[in-house]
Amino acid sequence: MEVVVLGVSHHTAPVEVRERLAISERNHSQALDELRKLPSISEVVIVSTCNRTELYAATGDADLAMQDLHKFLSGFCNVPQIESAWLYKHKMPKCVDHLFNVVSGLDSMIVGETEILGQVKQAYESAFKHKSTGKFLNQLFQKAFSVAKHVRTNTNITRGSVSVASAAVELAEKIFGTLSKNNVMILGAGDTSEKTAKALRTRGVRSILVSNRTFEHAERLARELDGRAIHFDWWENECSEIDIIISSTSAPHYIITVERLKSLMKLRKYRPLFLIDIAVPRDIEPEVNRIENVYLYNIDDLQAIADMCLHARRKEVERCRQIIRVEVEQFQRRPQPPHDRTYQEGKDWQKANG
Amino acid sequence: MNFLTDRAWMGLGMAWYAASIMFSIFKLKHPARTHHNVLNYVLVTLGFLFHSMGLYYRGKALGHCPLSNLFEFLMFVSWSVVLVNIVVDFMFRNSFMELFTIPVALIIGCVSFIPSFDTPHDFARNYWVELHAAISLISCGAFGLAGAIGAMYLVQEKLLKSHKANFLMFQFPPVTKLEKINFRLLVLGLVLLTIGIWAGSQGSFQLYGTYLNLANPKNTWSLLVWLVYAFILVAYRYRWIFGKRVAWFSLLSFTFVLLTFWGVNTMSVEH
Repeated sequence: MEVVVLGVSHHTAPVEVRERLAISERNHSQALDELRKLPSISEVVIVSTCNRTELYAATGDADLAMQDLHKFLSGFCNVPQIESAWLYKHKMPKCVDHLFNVVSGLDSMIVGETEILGQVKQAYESAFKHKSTGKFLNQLFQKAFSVAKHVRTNTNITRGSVSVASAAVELAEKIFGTLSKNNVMILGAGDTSEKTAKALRTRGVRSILVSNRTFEHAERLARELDGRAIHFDWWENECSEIDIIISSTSAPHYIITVERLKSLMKLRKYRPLFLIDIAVPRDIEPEVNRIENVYLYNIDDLQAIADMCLHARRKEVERCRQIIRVEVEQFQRRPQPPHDRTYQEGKDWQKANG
Repeated sequence: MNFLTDRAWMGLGMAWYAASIMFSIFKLKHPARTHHNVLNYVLVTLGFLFHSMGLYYRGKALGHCPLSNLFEFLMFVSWSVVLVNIVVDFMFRNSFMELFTIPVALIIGCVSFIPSFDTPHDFARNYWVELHAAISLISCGAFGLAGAIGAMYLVQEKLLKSHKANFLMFQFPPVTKLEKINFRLLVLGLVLLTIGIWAGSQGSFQLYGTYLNLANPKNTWSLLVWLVYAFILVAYRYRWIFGKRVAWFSLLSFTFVLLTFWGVNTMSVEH
């Protein structure tokens, strides 16, 4: 008996293909049932996210199982012809190596992201509850989760902010500490500024003010962010209580100048102010950075931080792969469980035998 | 337990401080492998224990508080910096504060080992004078810590203003927190200094009949130091100064105190 995997991911197929081959939560049980009926498959787990759909199966005949999985996917998702370039198929030990890499975030679009671990855990729990797993997949997946934890705690693979929005949030925390007493203002609109505001909201800022030349847009965004909209003419009046300003208007000139800011800082008693200038052309005069307690970052600066963190993570990848290679070898050499066990027994056995 | 000299005990304390600094630097470079700051606390506490033993043995040999010559004064200031550091530590988990503060303690401690500093020196003393000396020097420790935090603030502020992506920046504490702790340490130092000067005046009265002899340069110098720190705190409270300026004041005032301290001391007969 061995374990095999068949799947598509963002590495092998474009999003138009992946979305057709995705298996939604609603259809999960039905899919698991149909797969278990196949004679070549004794255990199966389905992992389906926006970036991958993978079928892990324990089987006595690897080649037959691959064919069956391929046919199943084609039929279930109604895609008669799945190009071989879109699919990857792995047998042991590559299958183990692949799973360990996936859960550790090494196979993700953003290297080191941690969401995938939760998603795979959920997929496994779902299959387990459905009684689609047995000793082989139980052992494999439980080991995979402990490998992911090991990789994450012993390397820098998850460190740093790799998007503009999360870099902005981390900087805000380096200026203010916890954000629960801070107020945010968004001037204008835009994808990046909205993402940044959302990230700040998740981190627990006290309030968000939205201002836009078009009041309806401001109201819409304010509703989404659980904030308050104000007319664009009034934004300066509200500034004295604001600690973070995200600016992304389409104004061709600077809307925040050194002069304006100096008087604003006086009003604010020189409490620290974090300015995020997402706009091109820039909304905020660069020289304001010289004012004491004013911290100005534009989109290029934030992108540079995100790139640097991503680069640092990529450097860690080789170290992580090395750790995983060792774990795969250990897994291959593990003693086989003597007979079928319950979930808890399986876990205890796993713990006792490393 | 008396198989080491008091200087040797203090020297070993310094060695543990040096180990702590090296560990802090290692932690900066390998954040993933050093999640827990426990080791750093252990190293600093070990150093503090050895250091305390050294001061204890010196005190025992002298028959009074070990504050009679420049060596003892500096060792006591160094010890106070670590004492206040340990007290403040709980506010500052995992944040590399020790990277700035322990070097202050280490440098002051190592400088004190200059042989000519450790010559016997005697002066009139009573209970008040001992209390005055100890508390004033602990206040020095608080000011020293404030100076180190001020330096940390200046570094972090510079990193944040520079826009350059920098891992250091993400390891150090937030600037607002540094500013707040700096302020609190200055308050602590000023309160202790006030008590120290008051204790000194009591001692002075008992020994010489006057509470305050302004002709004595050390006394005027102490009042000057008190006024400078009081001014910083009032100015900060009313936002006449903030941010970088407070940090610079902290750093420079302590440097001034450290450099002029012994000079003023030798000029003063009663000290």
